[in-house]
Parts: sequence; structure tokens; C-alpha cells
Amino acid sequence: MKKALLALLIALMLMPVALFANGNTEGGSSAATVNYPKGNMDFVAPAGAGGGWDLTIRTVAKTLADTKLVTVPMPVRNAPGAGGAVHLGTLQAKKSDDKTITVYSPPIIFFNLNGTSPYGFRNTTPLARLIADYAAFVVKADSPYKTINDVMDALKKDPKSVKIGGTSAAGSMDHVQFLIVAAAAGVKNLDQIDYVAFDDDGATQVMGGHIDLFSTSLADVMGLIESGDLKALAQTSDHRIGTGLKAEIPTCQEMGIDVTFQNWRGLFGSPGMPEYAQTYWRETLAKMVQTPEWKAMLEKYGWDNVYQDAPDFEKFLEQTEASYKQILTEIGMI
Amino acid sequence: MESLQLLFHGFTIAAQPMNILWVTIGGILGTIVGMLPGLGPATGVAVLLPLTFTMGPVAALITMGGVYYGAMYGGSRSSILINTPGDGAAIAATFDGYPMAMSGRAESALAMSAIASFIGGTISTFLIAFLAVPVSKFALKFGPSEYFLLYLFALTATATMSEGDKVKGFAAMILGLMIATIGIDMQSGVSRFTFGILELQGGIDFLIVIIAMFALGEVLKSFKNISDGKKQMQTKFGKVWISKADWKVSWKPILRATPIGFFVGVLPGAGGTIASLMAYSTEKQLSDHPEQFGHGAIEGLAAPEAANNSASVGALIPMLALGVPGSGTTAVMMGALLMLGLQPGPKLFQMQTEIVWGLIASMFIGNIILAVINIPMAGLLVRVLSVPPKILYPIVLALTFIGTYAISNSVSSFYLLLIFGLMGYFLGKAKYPTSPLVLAVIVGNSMEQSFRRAYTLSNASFDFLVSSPLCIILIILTIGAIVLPFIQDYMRNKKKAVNA
Amino acid sequence: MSLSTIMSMVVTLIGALYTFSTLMLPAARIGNPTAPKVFPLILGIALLILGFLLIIAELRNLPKTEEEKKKAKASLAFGPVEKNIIFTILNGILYALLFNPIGYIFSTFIFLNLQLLIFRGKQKWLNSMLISTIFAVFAFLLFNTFLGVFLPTSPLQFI
Repeated sequence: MKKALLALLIALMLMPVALFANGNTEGGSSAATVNYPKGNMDFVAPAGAGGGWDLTIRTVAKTLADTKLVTVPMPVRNAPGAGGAVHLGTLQAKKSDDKTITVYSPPIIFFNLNGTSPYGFRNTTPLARLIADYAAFVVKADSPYKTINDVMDALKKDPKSVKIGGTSAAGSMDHVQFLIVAAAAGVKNLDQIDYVAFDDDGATQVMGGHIDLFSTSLADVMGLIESGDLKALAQTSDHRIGTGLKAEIPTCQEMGIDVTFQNWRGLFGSPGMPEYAQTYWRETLAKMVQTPEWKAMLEKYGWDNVYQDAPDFEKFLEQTEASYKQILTEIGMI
Repeated sequence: MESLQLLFHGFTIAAQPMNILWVTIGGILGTIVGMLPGLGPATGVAVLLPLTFTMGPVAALITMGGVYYGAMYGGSRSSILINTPGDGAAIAATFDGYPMAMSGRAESALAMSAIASFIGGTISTFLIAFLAVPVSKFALKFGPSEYFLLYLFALTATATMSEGDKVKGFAAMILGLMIATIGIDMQSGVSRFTFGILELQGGIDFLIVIIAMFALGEVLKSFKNISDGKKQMQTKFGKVWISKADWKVSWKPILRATPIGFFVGVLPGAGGTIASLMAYSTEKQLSDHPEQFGHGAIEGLAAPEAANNSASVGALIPMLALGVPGSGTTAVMMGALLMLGLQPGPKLFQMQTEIVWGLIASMFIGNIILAVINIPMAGLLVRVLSVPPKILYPIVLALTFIGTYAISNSVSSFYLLLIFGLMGYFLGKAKYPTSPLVLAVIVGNSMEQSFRRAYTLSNASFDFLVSSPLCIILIILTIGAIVLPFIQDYMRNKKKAVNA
Repeated sequence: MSLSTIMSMVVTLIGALYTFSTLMLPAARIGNPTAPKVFPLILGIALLILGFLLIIAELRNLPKTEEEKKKAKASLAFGPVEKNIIFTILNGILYALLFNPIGYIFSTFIFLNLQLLIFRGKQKWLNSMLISTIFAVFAFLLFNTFLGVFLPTSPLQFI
């Protein structure tokens, strides 16, 4: 009797497995109909909540919902790990999935080039470039360095004399964006410059005088610049940005260093995303960037509109990769 | 005096019925996420994120504040009842809280935890109101070398104060530090000990190790405890309150732990875990019966609970006064502020007094509300112990898995959970203390990175170890933490010898 | 030999393996090439030393009396408790394998049923199934629907 019951129990438990083994084979191919999107989308920020990627994709989701361009739910999920490399890895298991939309920026190129991840932007489906933010180099208010040129002159004399800090790993964005500028300013021995990576408190470290210069994105330190605790020596756009104090920050070009660096952010689908999904999102995003709601958001966060549709975006990615590669080779990373 | 006026103004904002309602809702949600393994205030705040867009910034911040300290109350509930700390800061609550529950004193433990949390939270809210700006300036003095020495001190204090063989304590600590070295090294970009597994590149989340060592370890241990009859269900429940004697031994530890928690909490990244462990080891060293610690000494629960809540208040300072997130949760809150169109930073503190002081005042109110709802809630929660262990443990096990999934979003972490669970089980069976290991996993990476930063910044020399008065103080404390327990042991043995 | 003795050897072995793999790490291409190895090397060597200390302590306290020897043996005994632990681990692995393919609710139902079987035996199977169903559905609603922790669904899509 007991044995029979046990067998029944096991049979019952295995039933769903058997059921789905069938269900699985039926499901797959029938999805390729015009009826898209259907069900929940899966919006992913490949970093923790509260960062730049998170803010970008949440803003996209909110704008699309507010303007009713997309009517299916677009919940945002955070999948942090290794500066976004972990999520790119998991994305590889979702080939030709039509639900996942994720956001990336220069690190998708850096972590591939510097060997952190075997995958790069070629293992995704680029959909559109949307916005750009710029690098800023900040020092504490009473720093002896008054201009970016002072910093570069000091580095030319002794590459160890200015300690640079940032919040991405060595060989990734905050590090390389500074080196690109230093190279353009004619600093030699780029590999001799000390760069220290912090987890998230680089701003307090430069305020406390523990590092000399903090390489970051402008949006992250505006609060401390406005309060007068920090001073931005330069930003890397080709034009002045924003209004008020922000607009007073000189560009590198104005300071005689002919270089720009753009922290662009774009949306990507999973590798081999089906045609219908690609078309849908390219068209939808093209519409979104025209809406007043989106423009208001850009204004609010001080982002530049750098919209590019997929084909141009892909070309841009190729070119950018080549230029990043050059600088990484120069500092001996690759 | 200006602060007092502003605070009073804050009260008029926070005491509006809608805001009281929001802080209550936030507090209850926070308590729930705090109790679930793997979830913390960050999840709770993220859940409320869409809702906060419809509120004004003051109400939004007040609600998120409610979630934040609600989670601190909730975190220790599961520590006490089922030895499953919800996050790092609740680890110290397992040391004496769980033994208390095992010996039928769960009600006192839960009540003490709520009371200590309330006192710690209230006093530190008072401190934040008057000291936020000077304290945030003080925190700037902490550079890489100070951080390194602080972590070193916290680790050695935990390793030497743990039960039993000190050599085993240090071995456990080193094992934990080794686990923390897995992943990409930020300073060089080299990936270490990842064996080519992409999921390991980002390092092993310490929460998974906590859940594995404590919750899963407890389930594995329970087979023996159940067959030995050590673990039985509780059938009679008393009132959730503490006795006069409990209060008498606990009030001083609570008052000592509160400032410790507050000041350690202010330091970005160090946070509640170190604060509560430091409070615990302080009390153990000051106690005249340290041998009872770890076996249900109520002051060993009261001190870390007060410190933990106090630290969570302190952690708001870098966010409010500097616009720098001091912890994962405050990072989410800052993100929310940004989405509400507020730029956190010193200017927010000076200009948006309504928001800042409304939040501070709501913390007073929130603390009272949470203490009030937590005592009856504890009366319900304690009934968990009336579930037969043979049913309770499988459910705890299922919760550990879903909690792990919530942390990593990946099934591969299930294997990590099983590996570390087994490791914890065998270490425990061979009498290795697990808390130094877990703490080492939590601070290990920051400790090494701080060391490397300091070394680079002092031009590849070890001068940084004595570069500031703070460093020297921390070194003296560390040496004290190593030497003191040995002296105490020696004195006690001598006493015993005399008495015998 | 007791479990404690074996553990002291395992600790030493981990120290040796860790030290070895530290030396095998690639040199850093940014900054000082040996920098990423210094801290792990200190850890590896420290664990080796501690491991040796532990082994020496174990050898000094080798069980002498019959009673102590029995106790040492008992720490390595393989009984019902150990069997249950192995079952629990295997059940966890099965759970990991089923989690994505058949979704949270069904895999949890199976996992919890098996785990209850391990703890309680097969008598109260109906009660166990009820508990598993309620837990799986309730946890799914709480985490997936309410708390926004997205859990895998079965190929049936809706759960």
C-alpha cells in the first residue's frame, strides 16, 4: 500500500515535467507572428539600481509608457556583475529572444578589449544610440591645479606626481577617458600614471585630498560642484553643456587639447533578435526621441541627444572600438 | 538653535496624516523584505520606486526612509527565530538571539531587539539632526589607509573574540578573505581564481555566503538536532516583553553601542555589519561574564541591535550632506531622488530644508511607529516556532534558494549556495567559528583594494600605515584586539586556579 | 582519525592549492605587474602556516583513552543524518537543473515535496503536497508579482 502511494506521489510530481517536455517543442516557432509585442518585456540594467544605466533604461521605459508608444508592461530588472560583463554572458543563452532590451555604454567595448569578457557588442543586436553624457575631471576646491593644463604639465614632468582616481576598474572607462585626454595633451609614459579605482566613493576621496584628480561623469558630481566643494577643470564634449555653473566648465578643446570623449548610451537586444522585433524597436525608438516627454527628460538630466538608428550605430561602434583599441595598446593593456 | 527650529518645522511636515500613513506602509514593507533572506531595503525601495513618482519628493523620501529602517527591524527577526540573517548587519543578532530562541526565550529576544533598535534609532536620529555636517566632514578624513586599518581592526576583533580555538578562528578568517579575492581585481583588471567562469568575474556576493553558512548550515545541522531531540517546537508562548533584570543588564550596552553604530555607519561602505560586530565585541570584552556570550546573553543581542539601527541612520549622512551614497540602499534612494528631479548634495541640505528635515523628523516618528507595530507583530512571528521543525526546515531551505535567486538572478548561484552550505557545515562540525569567515567575505575585497590604493597613493611604500593620527589609533586598537583576549584568558585561568 | 584532524589537513591543502594558483596568475598589464598577487600570496602562506599549526595541535591531542577514540570515530560515522544531508544536496542540484526549464512553481513544488519526504518520511504525503503547493504559489506571488523579483515561468507561460 505504502509503496503504491509513493509511486503515485512520484508520478504526480513528475507529471508537470512530462507535460512541459511536450509543451516546449510546440511553443518555440509559432511566436513569429505580427502580433508583437505581446506579454511583458524584459528591460535590463546590467548594473545595480541607482546608477547611470539604471537611470537611462528606467527613463526609456517610463517615457514609452507615458507616451503610450508601447502598451505592454516594461518592468526594469537589475542584473549587476563585473561592470555589465556578467549580464552580457547570460544574454548569450537567450539567442533570438525578442523580449530582452538592455542598455550599454563604452564599457561594452572596454571589457571586451581588456579581456574581462569574451563577448562584446558583436554578441548583441544594437538597436539605437540614444544619449550622451561627458567625462569631467574634478579636483577639490583648493587644489593647486587651476586648469587641466596645470595637471598635464605636472604629468609631463613626473607621471607619478598626480594621482588619478575613478570608479571603474583599471583599463575601463574612467581610467581610459583620462588617458585619451592626457595623450592628446602630449603626455608621454601613459602607463606610468597612477590610477586608483574606487567602489563608489571617489568624490569623498578627492574632497578629502586622498587623490588629486577624480575622473568621472559630469552628472555624478554636479551637486558637489554647485556647492563649491569640487571644481571641474574640464569636460570632454565639443561644446559647453547645460546652463549656469555647468556651462562655465571649459571643454578640453578650448583649453588647447584637441580631443573629445563621449559617454554614449544605447539600447541593445539579445544576439540574433528576430527581424520583426528589431524593426519594431527601431521604429518605436525613432518615434520616442521626437516626443516632448523625451526631450523634457534630456533637459532634466542634462543629457545630449545623440540618437542614431541601428545601421549608423553599428558603424559608430566599429569606429569607436578602433580608437579605444589604439589607446589601450598605447598603455600596454593589450 | 537653528537646527531646533528646522527640526520643529520638519515635524510639522512629517506629522501630516498622509506622511504618517506613508511611513507606516514603508515600515511594514521594509519589515517584510528585511525578514526574507537575500532581500533587503534596496528591494523594498525599488518596489516602491514607481509609486513614488506620483508623490511629492518629501512623501517619497519619507516612504523610502520607512522601508529603510523597517528593514533593519525585520532583518533581525529571522536571525533570532531561524538563524537566518537577512543581511550582514543582522549577523550579530544570531550570536545570542538564536540561542535565546532555542532555549525558549524568543519573546524576550524579539522584544529586546525592537527596544534596542528603537533606542539606537532614536538617539542617532537626534545625532544626525545636529551633527550631520561636521560628521560628514570628519568622514572625509578616511582615505584608503584609514579604511584598510579599520577593516583590519574589525576582522581581528571578530576572529579573536569568537569561541574556542583562536587558530581555527584565524584560519576561518583567511578562508573568508580567500573567497573575497575571487573575481576581477579592480586595480589591475586581472581576473583571479575565476577558472574562466563568467559568473565569478563579478566576485561572490557575500549575501550568498551568509545565507549558505547560516540558513543552509542550520538546515543541515537540524537533521542531527531533530534526531537528538534538541530542536523541538515551542507550544507555549509568553508575552513579548522584557523583564526588569533584562533591562538592567542591557541599558548600558545599548547606550554604548549607539554612538559606535552611528559613527561607523557614516563611513561609506563600512556600514552596519562592522558597526554591529564592533558593538558586540566591545560588550563581550567589557562584560564580567563573557563566557555567557554566544549562549543567550541578552546584552549580546541588545548591543548589536542598537548599533545596527544607529548605523543605518548614520549611513544617510553621506547621501544627504554630500550626495555620495554610503550603501547599496542609499544608492537606490539617491537614484530615486534624481528621478524626482532633486540633485543630492550639500546644496540639497542647505536649500531644500523642507525635504531634509521632513525626512529627519519622519525618522523619529517612523521609529515610534515601527516599535509599536513590531511588538505585536513579534507576537505573531514567534508562532513560527510552533511549526514542527520537520516542516519548518524544508520551508527555510526553499526560502534560502529563492533568496539566492533574488540576489543573483541566476541558477548558477544555487551551486555556490550548496558548496558554501556544505563548507559551513563541516567547518562548524570541526569547531571552526563561521562568523570570522563571513565577515571576511564581506569586507575582504574592500580591505585588499584599500590596501592597494593606499600603497599606490603613497608611491609604493608602506608609509601610509602611519600617515595620520587616525591610522595610529586604529593600529593601537588592532593590537589591543589581538592581545586583550589572551590577557583576559590568562587572568581568568589564574583566578580559577586561585579559587580551586 | 577525527573530522577535526581531516579538516586541519584540508585547510593546509587549500592553503597550498591557493598559493600555487596565485603564482600561476597572469601578470598585471597596468601598474605594478605583481600587485594583484601580493595579497593572495600573503593569504596563501598564512593559511599554510595556520594549517600546519592545526595539524601539530591535532597530533599532540591524539585520542589516548578508549572513550576518546570512540568519540573521534563517531565524528566520522556515516549514519542516517549524513545520508539525509547528501539527499538534501542532491535535491538542491535537481532543483537547480529544473528551475529554468519548468519554471519556479513546478520546480519548487517538486523540490519541497522531496525535501519534506527527506525530513518527515512518506507517511504524511498528502499534507506535504499541500504545504508545497501553498508555499510555491505564495512565494511566487510574493516575490514575482509583489516584490518584482522576476522568477522563471514554465513553458505554459502564465505560471
